[in-house]
Amino acid sequence: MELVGEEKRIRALFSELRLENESVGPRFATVWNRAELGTVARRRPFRLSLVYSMALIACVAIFSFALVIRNWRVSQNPIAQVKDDAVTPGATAIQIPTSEGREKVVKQESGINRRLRVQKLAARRQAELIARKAARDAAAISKWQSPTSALLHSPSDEVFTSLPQLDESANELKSFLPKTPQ
Amino acid sequence: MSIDRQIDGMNIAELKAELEKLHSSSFGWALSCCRRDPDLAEEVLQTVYLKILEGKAVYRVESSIKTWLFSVIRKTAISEYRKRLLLFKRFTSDEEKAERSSLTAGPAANFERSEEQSRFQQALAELPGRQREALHLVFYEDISLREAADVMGISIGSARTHYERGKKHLRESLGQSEIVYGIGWRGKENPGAV
Repeated sequence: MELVGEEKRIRALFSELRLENESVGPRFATVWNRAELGTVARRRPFRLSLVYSMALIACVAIFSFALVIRNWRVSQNPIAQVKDDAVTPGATAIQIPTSEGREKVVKQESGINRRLRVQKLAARRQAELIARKAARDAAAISKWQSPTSALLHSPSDEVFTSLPQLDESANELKSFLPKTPQ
Repeated sequence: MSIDRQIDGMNIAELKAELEKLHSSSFGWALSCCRRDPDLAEEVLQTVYLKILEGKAVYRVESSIKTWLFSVIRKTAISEYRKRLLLFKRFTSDEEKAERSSLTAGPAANFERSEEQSRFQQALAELPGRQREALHLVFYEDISLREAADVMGISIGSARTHYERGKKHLRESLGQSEIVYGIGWRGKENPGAV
């Protein structure tokens, strides 16, 4: 009996809820038309912080990409670059099949070799210069003397460094003694 | 998009007419599935209509249109609610959350509710999802437990269990508020029981 009464009460409360829902509900035509247009209105608030963070991430990505590209270019071998330029399927590659073209390539290669040789020679000279300078420095350091080292010496240094003879003092003393008659 | 398109033997115009008839109930059900967030409920309903128009949700004549539609609404509401919850957690500060919750409560709060209705809605919101759904389908939509089970995608036995437990919890919640507010709940129907 009580349960039936409660169910009725719950039903009444749900009816009241239905009335409330109907008052806040959108019209069918509005929702249907929006759906027909295929525009699901996602009313997400515009977040400036999100935009800032995305822009920051994009900047960092671009900067790091630029750095990587730059390093990669620097690390590339210049010979390979030149060869690539010669071999690339561009205008030069099409002109190469003639004998003049081949000569040009040979000349280019010999020029590169000469440049390399000069570079190697310069590097060797540089290394020799550095070695010579190091040897000179080492010699200078070994000969160096302190400017105050002279102050450490005195005329009486001989007394401390040499040993007297056994009878030397007695003989010297005799010369100072008055001559008394014996 | 062609309105005259056939969807599984049913003309879209006929389907539209049926949907229009059920629109009010659909919105109520969407509200219940979206924890009474009217914006989300409207978005869910719009997504459901879009799914129907695009042929992603197809009505087959195995069940009633109402059962099928409510089932689609329920599934869509769950996925939309999850998405929104995830976004809400990620990108919303505490102040924005407070502001948003006050905005969400806005239209419903503007409706002049009785004190009992407010307590009832609060008690309903505190119920577990399945129990709330079972009670809504039976009492609000006035459909059988079997149909409610179909909508919820569970067996009739489970639906009955959720329904009974929901009623019990609701009774307890309203009974507690009866003590707090000093308003008769059982006493109105059966004074001797109090």
